[in-house]
Order: sequence, then C-alpha cells, then structure tokens
Amino acid sequence: MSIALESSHLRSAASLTKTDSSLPLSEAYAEVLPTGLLRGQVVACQGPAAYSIALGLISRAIAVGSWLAMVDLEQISPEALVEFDIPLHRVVGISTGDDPANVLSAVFDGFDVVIIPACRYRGALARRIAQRIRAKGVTLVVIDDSNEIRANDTASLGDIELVGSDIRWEGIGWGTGRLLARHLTVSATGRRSPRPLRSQMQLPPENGTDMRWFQDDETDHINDELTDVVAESEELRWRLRAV
Amino acid sequence: MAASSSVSSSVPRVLTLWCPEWPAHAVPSVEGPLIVLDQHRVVAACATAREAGVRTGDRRRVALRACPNATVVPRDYSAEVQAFERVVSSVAEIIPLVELLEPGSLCLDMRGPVRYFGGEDSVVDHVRSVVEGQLGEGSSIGIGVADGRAASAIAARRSGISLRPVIVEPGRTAAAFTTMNLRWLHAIGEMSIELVELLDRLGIRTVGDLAALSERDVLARFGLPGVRAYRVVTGADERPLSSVAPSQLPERERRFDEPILSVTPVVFSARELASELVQELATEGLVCTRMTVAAETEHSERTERHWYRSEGFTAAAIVDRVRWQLDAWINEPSAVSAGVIVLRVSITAARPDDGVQEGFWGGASEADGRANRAVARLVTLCGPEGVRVPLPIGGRLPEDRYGWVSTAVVDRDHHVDALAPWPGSVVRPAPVIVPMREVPIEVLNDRGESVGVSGRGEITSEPVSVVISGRSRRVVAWAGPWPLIDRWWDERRRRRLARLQVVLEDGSAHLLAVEHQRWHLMGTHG
Repeated sequence: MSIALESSHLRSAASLTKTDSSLPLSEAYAEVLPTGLLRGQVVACQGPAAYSIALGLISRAIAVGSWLAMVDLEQISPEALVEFDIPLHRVVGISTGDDPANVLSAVFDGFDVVIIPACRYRGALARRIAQRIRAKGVTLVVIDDSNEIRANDTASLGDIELVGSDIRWEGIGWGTGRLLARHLTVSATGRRSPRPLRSQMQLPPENGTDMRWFQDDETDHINDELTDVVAESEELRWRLRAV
Repeated sequence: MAASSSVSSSVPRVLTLWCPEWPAHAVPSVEGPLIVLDQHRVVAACATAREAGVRTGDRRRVALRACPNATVVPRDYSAEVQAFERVVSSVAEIIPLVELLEPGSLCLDMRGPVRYFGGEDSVVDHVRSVVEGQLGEGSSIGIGVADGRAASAIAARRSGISLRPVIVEPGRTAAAFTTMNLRWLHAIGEMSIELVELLDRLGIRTVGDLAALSERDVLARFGLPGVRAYRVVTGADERPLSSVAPSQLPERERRFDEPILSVTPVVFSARELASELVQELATEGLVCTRMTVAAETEHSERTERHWYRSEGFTAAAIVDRVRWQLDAWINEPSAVSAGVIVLRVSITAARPDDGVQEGFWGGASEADGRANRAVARLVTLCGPEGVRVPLPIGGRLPEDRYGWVSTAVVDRDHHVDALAPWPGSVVRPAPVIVPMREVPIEVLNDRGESVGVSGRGEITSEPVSVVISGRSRRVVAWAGPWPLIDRWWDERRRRRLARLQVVLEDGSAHLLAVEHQRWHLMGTHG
C-alpha cells in the first residue's frame, strides 16, 4: 500500500479551512474558471450534460477534504460520483421536505460545497440563499437540466453559468460498440466576463480503470462471428430435428 | 519451502493464549443470552446467542433479529483487562515474561520455559492448568505454539475452536495452515480486508495458495503489506533486518511529587509521555510494537506489564493500555494501598514504519468535524430518512449497484467506495441520473412501431426515435441490446431484461431497458 504523494493531497484536509478564498479545481476547468472555484459563489450548470459538468467542477475540492451536500438530488447515482473520483465518505444527500429554508441554512453551516436543483433555487428563497452562502463561504452549484426557456426569469441563475455543447460520444455507432467517453465544450458566461470562455474536456474524466481495450473493432468482429456461429449451429440442430 | 525453513531457525517459538469471546466473559453475569457490541458491531456473544446465529461483525439489528431476547452491552475494555488480570498474573507466576496482546489474549517466548519445564507439551500443559485454575475446569481456551507471533496467534484461534492445544512444528507453518482461509490473517490483524478481498478475487484463498508464491513476486505485485502476509504464512514474520537494538529505544518516566490516588491524572500524564515517545520514534521513521508499562506506589507496590501490537502503537493506543492496566491494578483487591508516585513507559521493540498506521494525515480535519455536527443537526430537522449517505451495495443494474442509506444506520468510519467486479453489468461510464421510480418510455422504429427484443436477444428493428415524458427525440447512435437474466434462482426477485444505449439528437445519452415488452428509462448520462 504505497502512499501516493500527489502534490494536491499534500494539502492535508486540516489545512483546508474556511479562510481560503477558493477551493481546489481540476485542471480541465482552469480555462473556463480562471479565478478558480470561489467560496460564496453560485455556479449554475445547464444543458443536457449539466450533472456531469457539476460533478467534474467539484470533484477535486471533495477529494482533498471538503464535504459535499446534495440537496433533493437523490436521482444522482453514487456510482457516477465514484467515476468522477469523488470520495463517497464525504458526501451526504439531504431531502429538505416542507421547510427548505431552515434545512438549507443548517446545510450551509456544515458543508463547503452544496449542489441543489434549479427548482429549489427560485424567487425569494434564491435571494436568501445567495446572501447566506456569501456569509458562510459556501460554494453553491445549481443544476438546471430543463431545456425549456425559463419564462419571465431573464436574470441569470448564478454568478457564473456553465453550459455544455458540441457533445460527442466516442465508441458508439449505429447498432455497434458502446458508450466509452464523452467529449464536450464547456462555456462559461458570467456577469463579470463579457465574452464566454470555452474549453474542451472529457466527462467523466479518463482514468486508469478505463476498459477501452475491451471492445475495439477487432474483438467486435470476433463477437459478431461468434454469434453467427451459434446461430448457425442452432439452426442446424432444428433442421436435423425436422429430418 | 526451503527458504522458509532456513529463516524459521532464527524465528523464536511463541506460545499464544487466546480466550474466545473474552469481551462476553468480562461482563458480570446476566440472565439469558448476551451480546457485546463495539462501534455498533458484534464483537462477542455467549454460546446461546452464537447457537441462535449471532455472528461477529453483525450490526445490532441483525444480531437482535437472530436472538431477540439477548441483553446487549457495549464493550468495556477496562473491565476486560481487569477480568483478564488474574489470568495474566497466574501465568506470570510460572513464566515471568508475559506479553499482553489485547484483553483476552497474551503471548510468551518459549525459549526459557521450554528448558525449564522440559518440552513444549509440558509448557502448554502448565499454562493450561493455571488458566483453567482461574477460569474453571473445561472453560474454552485456545493455546497455540508456532514460529513467531502471528503464526502462533493463528494456532491459538484454531485451538480456541477445537479446544485442543495446537502445536505447529518448527518450519511447518505453511504446511499446518495450508487449507485455512486467508480471512484469518485479517482476524488477527496481520492483513487488511482489502488485501484479503483482492487475493480472493485472484483465486488466492488459502494460506497454502499464498505460501506457494515466491516472496519476490508477492513484493512486486502486492507491496509491503503482501510481503508481511507472506512472511506470516511462511512462519518468518519477525522482520529479521528491521529490529533496533533495545538500548537505543526511548524510555520515559514521570515522577509525581504528590502521590496520586486516582487513575485519571496518571492517564493524563501518560498522554504526554505517549506523544513524546511516538514523536521521538517517528523522527527516526520507527513505530513501537512492544512496550513495558510500569507504575509504582509510595509503598513500593508495583505493576509491570508488557504489551505487544503488530500494527504498532499510536499515542492513543499507548494511553489506552496505560489506562487499562492501571484500572485493573487499582481495582484488584489489596493490591494498592497508597498513591502512585512513578509511571514509566519503555519501548522494547520498534520497527520501521511502513505506513500501516491510520491517521497518517492527522486524522479528522476541521471540515470533518463541522460536517458531522451539521449532519447531527440535519437529522433532527429532516428526520433520519431525510439525511442519507451513498453506499456501495453491488449488482448488475445501475439502480442496484449503489444506494442511498439513512445516516442513522451507517457506520461512518468504515469507508468502502469501490465495488467488486460484477460480470454482466454495463461498464464505465455509469449513468449519472438513475430515476427513483420507473419512467415508462417509447422506443420507435422508422414506421412508428415499438421496437422489440426477441427471446434470443436480437433487436427486431432499428430504433429511430425515443419518447421520454412526452417529448420525442431522434436517435443518432445506439448500441446493444445486452440481455440479462438476474437472480434466476429467486422466483419473486428474478428479472429478465435487455438493455440498450442510445444517443439522442441533443447529445444526451441514455440507458434503456425492455422488460415484459415494455420499455423504461434505466439511466441518463446527464
């Protein structure tokens, strides 16, 4: 059990106090968020890849010691968190029930990073939340995966909005292969950045356990042949029985 | 095996005494069955509860389901050491150098006693009779003799089950334990459960399997923990090159000007001693494995015990042992008649620290403390079901593999993130969104008819569009179908389905499943 002395892990969990103004961010996001992942900031993730963009955004912060609260997001699969290298023992899922305001303020007391769905970040509550996270130094990530244009809500959801576009899936064809990797362009727009910043990335990030070799074209052919052989022998048996 | 026999000549013969279910012994007698819990897990139970099906490691609920009328008590180390003290002192009367491993277990070097009593059998008989004299005739005790501590600990566990002393001939460790499951090494603290599981998946299940490998290969593939386990099973666990001359090992003593009459202040100063000792060793990259704790009163009453721990003592572990020993000593009738004036902790064995210790990064951080307090408060606000933590469960379908479990029933110190391989599951990437309840969908071909999957796992026509919650989108790529028959042996929970991956025109990808000719959404790569 050799201890990997990766430089980011040397920043031990104990040194991550609320006095740091920003949280660690993975390299892929450095171009879209040049100022880093700031505390007290609201980041909204939108589009069909909103969930993955959000998880990639916070993964490094949780990996080095911050805690993550996921509010009313029980549909997120913990397996995906593992694929984004988020340690599960620092993740807590919370259902707010009837009293979201009270529950959320307790959440902001204890967690550095909070993810909530857009339906919980609306109207008067949103203003209270924004005030509260600034005071507490929490980073709030709002996930908005609805494709409908929000009626009469032209104001932006967060300080920064991240949108995924040009999504390209690798490994899947028309009836062949399987999903292997997703490449996409993430663009950031914000109140303070007049021009959107763009960056290409892969989500979930590539890692050592990728089983890419498992299904390259060659093995595909073998698989096809095998199924053909099985089908033929099956057919043969039927014919023999008929005879 | 040639290598192991040449090494074993330098490994001392060790006798280990192990009293099964000691935590249950130490509890004052109660009516009916008894279960002892530590950190919400069963650590011991009485014979009646064992017969009812209570197993070590069970949670409280599981244990009580097996044996509902049992009395559940928390583990009390001090009481255990205190109860064990009479066993230790009776053994120490005939063999002075006794090392305590944990309450209920001790070991001793056989070299001297063998010469004195004439033969290992004779030593075993003597130990057995004095222990039976304390615990009563026919009580279950395990005595094992083998090369080195770890092997003798295994022998003692084995003997505790068979209730006959187990003596392993020199150099025959691997041969004697060849069919034993490697989980035993985890039970005696010589191997992490992760390594046991890894070896298990590679088909190395028994001591014999591991001993049949070469040490070099084990080091190359499994690193230091693997070599450690290898040395244990081949009877060469004493790290021949790593010992440090005892004269260089630190010792700390504290003299009290005022005799101290209660345990707490002595333990408090032990805390200081312990952290000094551990730090001094750490600067040289060492960790203490054996130490002697001694205390003396004004009237020169003494207690002196040797403690051993193969994982190494942390400062907290040293303090614990000082407390246990003093508690046992003070509560012993007529042992102490005055206040304590001297406390001495001396390190008698150390080895290079190979990072097995936990808390290397300083244990719990400020963020951990803050989050745990918030979780406690949130449980009162939203109820135990409102605060959940993710947990690996295992299965082939996305909804089975991991679950969200109420934080009230989870042991938060126990981290397992990775899942064992499950052949037949869809491999990485996993869908990010897994619907909480079934979402019916439609998968249509170019004529607008529903696509089906035949009994032989073949798709009837190509999918062209998918309708999810009333919204139809064009398919740009698809793969599959992958049929799956899960739990075919279970009439009620069996599932027979086929899975399909699709990429839709907006770039979103989904995992779909057809079951009983009806399609539903299994997950979305959101």
